[in-house]
Amino acid sequence: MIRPTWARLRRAGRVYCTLVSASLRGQMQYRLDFLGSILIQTVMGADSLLFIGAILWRFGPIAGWDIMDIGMLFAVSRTGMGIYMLLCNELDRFEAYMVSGDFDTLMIRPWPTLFTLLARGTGIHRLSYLVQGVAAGAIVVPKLAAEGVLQGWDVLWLLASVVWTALLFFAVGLATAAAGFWIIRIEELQVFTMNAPDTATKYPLDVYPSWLRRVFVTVLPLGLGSYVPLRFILDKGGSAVDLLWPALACPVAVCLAVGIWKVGEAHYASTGT
Amino acid sequence: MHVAVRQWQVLGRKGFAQNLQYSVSHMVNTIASVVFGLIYIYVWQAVMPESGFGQYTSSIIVQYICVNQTIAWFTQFGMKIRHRIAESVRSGRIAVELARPMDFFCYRMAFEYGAQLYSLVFRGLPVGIGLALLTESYVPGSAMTWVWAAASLAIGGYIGISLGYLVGISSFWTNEIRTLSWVLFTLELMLGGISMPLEVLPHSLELVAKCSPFAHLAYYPVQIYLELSGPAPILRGLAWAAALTVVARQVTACARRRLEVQGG
Repeated sequence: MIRPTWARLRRAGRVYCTLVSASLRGQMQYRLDFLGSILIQTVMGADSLLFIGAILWRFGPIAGWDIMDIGMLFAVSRTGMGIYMLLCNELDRFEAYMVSGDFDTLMIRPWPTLFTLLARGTGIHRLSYLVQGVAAGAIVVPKLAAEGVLQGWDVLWLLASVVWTALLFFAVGLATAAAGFWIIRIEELQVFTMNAPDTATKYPLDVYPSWLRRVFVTVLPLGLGSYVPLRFILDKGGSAVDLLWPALACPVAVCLAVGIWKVGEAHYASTGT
Repeated sequence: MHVAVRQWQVLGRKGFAQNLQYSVSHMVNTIASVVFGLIYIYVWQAVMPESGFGQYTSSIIVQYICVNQTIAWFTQFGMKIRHRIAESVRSGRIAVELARPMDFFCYRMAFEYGAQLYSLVFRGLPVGIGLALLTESYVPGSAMTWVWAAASLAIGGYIGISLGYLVGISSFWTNEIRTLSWVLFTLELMLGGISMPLEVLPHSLELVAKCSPFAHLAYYPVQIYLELSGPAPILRGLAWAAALTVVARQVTACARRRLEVQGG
């Protein structure tokens, strides 16, 4: 039993690499244009950081979080989102598949639709999110380490937080995309389920009233991957259990999202091509 | 003159009507926008000192965010002119649009103005009402304030659409306008004052922002509405609108000579 599963996984890996490299070659035909756009997007896309920076510069720490702490929050949240955007770009533009009927072509492939969808295109043109997150981390981590805030295993927990955040983005993104099986147009829903929590979790959740805080760690749980563990790592409260919550919640969230996807797929009615 | 006004009215009405089919999806977006507004309001309430700063008290800041989240649906959000022009160029439909017996710039501007009016009525106002119910609202008592604020907003909308038009028309030279769109969007957010009064920025950046056309998309209309400023910025807005019109028409003339239609 084990051997066929491994063989299938290896084959899936090969197919994924082939499809992704084909997609990459297609997107990088005009290399100069590609590099220029990444550079511009990286610099210009840091507008939210400018907003936070201006506020901190003018008024001082937000709810006890100074610029380095919020920089760390930004780095974890942005890097997690960057990984999601890079690997799951097609989920983010799933509405186009529903509206045009292109999802039909995924159903006749000999692989699960979700696998084929994710392998169809990487969001290499959205690399700027990842670059911003990593750049912010590269600036903030050494400073926090020098101040003694980050010690020993903390860096590993930070990396784990990035992984949790990426997984939670994936879970929410997948569930939102699956809603497209019923309502077709999901772009506006994505603003609600992805963009709003993404913006909110760049700030410490302490600034929000408790009902909104609860929303961002349960229903739209993007705060669970970044804010909850960072609160403990950066000595802003909480307990060591905060490091474990995301590890428990992420598999549940991903399984739920995959379940919703499967139910939605069974209800799919083509718009025709 | 009469024909031009009539054309503007008809196209504006079409742009308005075209959006009516997406009302449910816009309702979802309204909820998201209210949440966005609340996020900014809570962040501001957390950072504002009790004494406020400059002419802004905690209460004025909340109203500033509420009004901005409303009018941004007219001057910035939901604007599709860039993509409409780029898509026309990509599909070759642009040849038909340029052959119409109407100025291309006016055609696009009128259509988009109607679409943005829809956006204000059906997306912006519900967001404003939602935020006002959850927080607090400000209603100016003076009729003149309403007139000046409406004029400033109308000019802001025109400036926003003109900027979008310039990005869209660049697709005559390059099929890829994603990066330029991104740059414009970021500048609008950073220098427009949608999420914070421009006085919060470092002084030199504040001056640049206030002199830029972006400040007319959010900052000045809200300042006038909240009676923090008189009508003087309207003249500067008019100057920007005129300058952008001249530039857009010049670029359109160049683009017309440059056009290569793909496909057969």
